[in-house]
Amino acid sequence: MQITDLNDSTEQYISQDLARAVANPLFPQIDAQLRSGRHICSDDFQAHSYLADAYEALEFFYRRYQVELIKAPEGFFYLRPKSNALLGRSVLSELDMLVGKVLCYLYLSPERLANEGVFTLTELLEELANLADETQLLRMVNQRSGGSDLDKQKLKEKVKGCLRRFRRLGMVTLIGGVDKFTLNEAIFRFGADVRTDEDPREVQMRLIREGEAIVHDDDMPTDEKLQQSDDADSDNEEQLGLEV
Amino acid sequence: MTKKYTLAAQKNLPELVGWVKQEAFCLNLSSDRLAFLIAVSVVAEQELGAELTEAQLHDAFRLVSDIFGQVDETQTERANNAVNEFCRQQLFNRFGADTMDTASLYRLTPLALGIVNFYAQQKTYSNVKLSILLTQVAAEITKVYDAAKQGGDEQYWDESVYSVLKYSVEDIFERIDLTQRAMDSQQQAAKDNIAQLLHQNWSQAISACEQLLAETSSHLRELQDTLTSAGDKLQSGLLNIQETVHGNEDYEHIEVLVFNLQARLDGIIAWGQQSIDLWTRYDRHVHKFIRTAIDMDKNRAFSQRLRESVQNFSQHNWHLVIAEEDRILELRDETLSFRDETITGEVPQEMEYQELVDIQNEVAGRVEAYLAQFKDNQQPLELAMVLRDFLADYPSVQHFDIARLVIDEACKLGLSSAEVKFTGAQAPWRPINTTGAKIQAHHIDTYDTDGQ
Repeated sequence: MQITDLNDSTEQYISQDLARAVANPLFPQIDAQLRSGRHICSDDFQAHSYLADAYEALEFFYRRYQVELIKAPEGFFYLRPKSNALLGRSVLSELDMLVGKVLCYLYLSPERLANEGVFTLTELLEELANLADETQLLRMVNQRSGGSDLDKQKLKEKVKGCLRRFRRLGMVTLIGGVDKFTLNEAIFRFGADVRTDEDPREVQMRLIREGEAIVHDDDMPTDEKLQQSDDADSDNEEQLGLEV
Repeated sequence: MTKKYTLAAQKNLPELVGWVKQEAFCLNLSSDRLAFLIAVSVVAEQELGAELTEAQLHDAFRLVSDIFGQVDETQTERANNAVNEFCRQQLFNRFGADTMDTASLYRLTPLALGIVNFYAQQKTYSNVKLSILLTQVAAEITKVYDAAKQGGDEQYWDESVYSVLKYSVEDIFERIDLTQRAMDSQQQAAKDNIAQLLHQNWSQAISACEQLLAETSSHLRELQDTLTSAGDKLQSGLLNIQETVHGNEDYEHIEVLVFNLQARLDGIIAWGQQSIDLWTRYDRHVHKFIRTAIDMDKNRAFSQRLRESVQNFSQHNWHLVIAEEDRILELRDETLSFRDETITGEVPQEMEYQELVDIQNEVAGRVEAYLAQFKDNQQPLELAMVLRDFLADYPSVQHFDIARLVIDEACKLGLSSAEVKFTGAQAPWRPINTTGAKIQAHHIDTYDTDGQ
């Protein structure tokens, strides 16, 4: 039984595997989730096993949109749009990156055993204050921050915003409100540059080359920024070389 | 008769809270005080009759005070303080201080014993003890059932059924409950141990952790087996007793008690199942942690590097790219533009929007034209008459507005001769419509001429 019988005038064939993958009732939802930036972890058992089975076919499917379906070494799946992708793409902000790194650190910490992997917002804020430079943190909230309580409150709100974004991306699972959450493996994307003991700068360059990340800009990245950096991907790499 | 046995009305929560507040109950045990209490209990165990003299208390206090490295000078004073405080907190009962020749005697209260037991005897709880308790309670229940089947007079029931259930079976249930609570603490301790192990030496800790997990799991499973097998038997025993007394009004109190015991037993069995569930979840969680975190980061170098990269975040210069489909907001804008055409069509004449002012002006124009006839003919204008004619053509809800317009227009035309001459005569009230509205006005007969 060949689906391709229907359009045998073209040279391109749709493989049986792909046809089966797309015909699967799970496909529309998973496809929509992936396109909205969601990472599918092994906790999402059904979707994960579907992707594991249909990986090769779907990889081909998304490549036609100039998007890569990535299976991370930690086992989760996500879409990585190239600069000329037909799907929308976005970048995470500086604060997102910092909070993400701290969450990744928490994932590896034995603290995660204490409450069966449930962390609270307070713990996250403490760990942030503990690991990161506070003035730098507050600067992300307010350029001229004097470290007032108002700024700290604002920081807290922003961190909550990060958690909500990560939830949409499938990196954390919120329990109830934003005050409690568990971490998923996808949080490891933030640790990509220090995953091995290679020179982090080398790894950063590679990440940028692969389209996994884009180079840091002084301002918060915006869509226009993204557009520019798309146009000048190669330039950015050179710039990075200079900055480093 | 049965009234005698109904439980003394139990206090509800606000009453209980109020009671504690009213009586100003308070417990305050620093660790040296607690040590003193435990020391006293140990000394008391060695005493026949468990009574202690003041000297013995002071000895115990000295021992504790030395271990805690407190100063000698104030010792007696502090010992007295501690003893008095314990009496106040109802941890000691004091006897016989009233006569000169007998020194005071002290005994530990149930509260103090409870506290000491919690700390000192915790280790003795185990599943062995739980199974002994279960056998014991099974034997008691069989005994009660046999007695109930035999039957007898009221006193017989009280002695052989009610009191055994109340004071033996219920008591054993109480102890099973306590044992279970102690085992909850044991599980917590195992969890703490595991966390401790992982904190220290990561990958070597794995086997130790796994062992601890397996031990606790099998321990719990055994316990659950004991509980379920014994539980069914106990439950049917209680059911039998219930059937024997069922429908007999005299033994209603026994039925109530049996019912309570059944609920309690259910609770005990449910506890076992719950703790297994919770532990299994924890077990799975630890295994997953070992599989992911530890396998990924054997010597914790990754953690260390992550830590550094957060600390040196100023050197960080890359941002993750994620797929993100266009916002639904934009889609909505586009769909709106699709529909624009159908919205902007020609509106029928009747539905065109009209400003209120325009309508008023038009009506005023008509009124003006109508009134002008009077002026042109130099007829006296009797407002009431004009209004009555005018308003008859309009629905009653508009009468006020129309009347106001007519009067405004009429006033523009001229004045009444009565007013011009300042006669001071009152104008008569005249009706202007059928619903009883009236106006008071002179005839306008002196028309302005400057407009002409």
